[in-house]
Amino acid sequence: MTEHSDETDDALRRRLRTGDPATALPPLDPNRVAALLEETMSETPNHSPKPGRSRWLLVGGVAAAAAVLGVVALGLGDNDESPSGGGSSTEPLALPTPSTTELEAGPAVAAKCLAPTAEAAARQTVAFEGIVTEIKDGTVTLAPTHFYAGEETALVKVAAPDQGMSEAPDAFVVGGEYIVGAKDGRVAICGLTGPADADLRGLYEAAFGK
Amino acid sequence: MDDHPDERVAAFENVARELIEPLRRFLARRTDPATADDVLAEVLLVLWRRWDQWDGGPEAALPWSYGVARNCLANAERGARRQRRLAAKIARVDPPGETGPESPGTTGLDAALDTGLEQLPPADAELLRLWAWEDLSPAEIATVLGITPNAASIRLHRAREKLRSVLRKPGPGAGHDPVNERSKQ
Repeated sequence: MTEHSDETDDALRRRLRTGDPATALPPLDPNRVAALLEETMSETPNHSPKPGRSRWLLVGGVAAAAAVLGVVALGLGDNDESPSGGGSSTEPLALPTPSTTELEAGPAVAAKCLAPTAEAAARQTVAFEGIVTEIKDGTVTLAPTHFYAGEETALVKVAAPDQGMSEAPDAFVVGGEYIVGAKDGRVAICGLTGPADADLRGLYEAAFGK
Repeated sequence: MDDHPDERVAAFENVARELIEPLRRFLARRTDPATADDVLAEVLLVLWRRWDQWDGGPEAALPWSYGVARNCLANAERGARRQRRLAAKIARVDPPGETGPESPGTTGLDAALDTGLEQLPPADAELLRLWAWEDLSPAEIATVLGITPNAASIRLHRAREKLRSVLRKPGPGAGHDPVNERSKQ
């Protein structure tokens, strides 16, 4: 079973493509294409870009409306990392409300911590690896890339603690990757939360598997 | 601003015509045919409404449209989930036959790969699909996901490593038993 073990990126990509479920999709009938375009362009004049409603409500109904509200409520958090490659003025459209885990930063700790262990990691009810996308008003927003424990959500927000943490994880930096553990809604400190490195990842993998 | 409305319309039509097939494949890979049809119409409409604000080149229109499609699909599925929950309540009173959308996700051609993808966190699996199936570069993936190209590169690299690691585990579908799924050899 080692033939695929160390595939190059190209080989892996080719292999993934063999599983592409759309390869057998026949092209759309040209008449249908024409009709689709006509239907699209007859809906609203393109030079009055109202935040279109009619179709949204038909298709998404309340969900679409809720999603739009959600974007406002979330302060367009994701937009701060707006894509630099494709059109600076185009914000992500009609973003669905991302599911969010809300955590508090850990309590102040006066004493020094013991070295973190896999057992301590295993006690965390939420543990994930993620990238900081925003730090605002004392709240750090992370986009998780992997959950070791807890319900998987699109975002995790860590609110600032009431008081300063003497052993706070080294300041979160936007764009930085971190592993965060939390229990009872509180972020673990004492070495269980910090920049994602092999050591910390090893602890969580030992605790939860990959 | 020197564009005539007619030219802008023609420009949209040209771009949209090129986007339709890739968008259809994008959607076919991720949802059932009926939802794919609905969402395709929706995506085109959103693109059309935003066309005046679009200032990227034609080559950037594709990842942009994938990003729109992703959001439209998420909305459609959110609505569908709500309907299923409602249906489930009704079904307790009057149970119908089994229903539920089929996920196209896998083909069964490469069982180890299918299992490997299933074992990855959904966000990682989606990155790999965008990379392999949609043939996107990290910068384009960044546009689709609304993240920085740097973050896309890092995540993609990590997702590939995770997949390799899963595939390296001995035995077809072994290593990590998907506890929840049927385990077909």
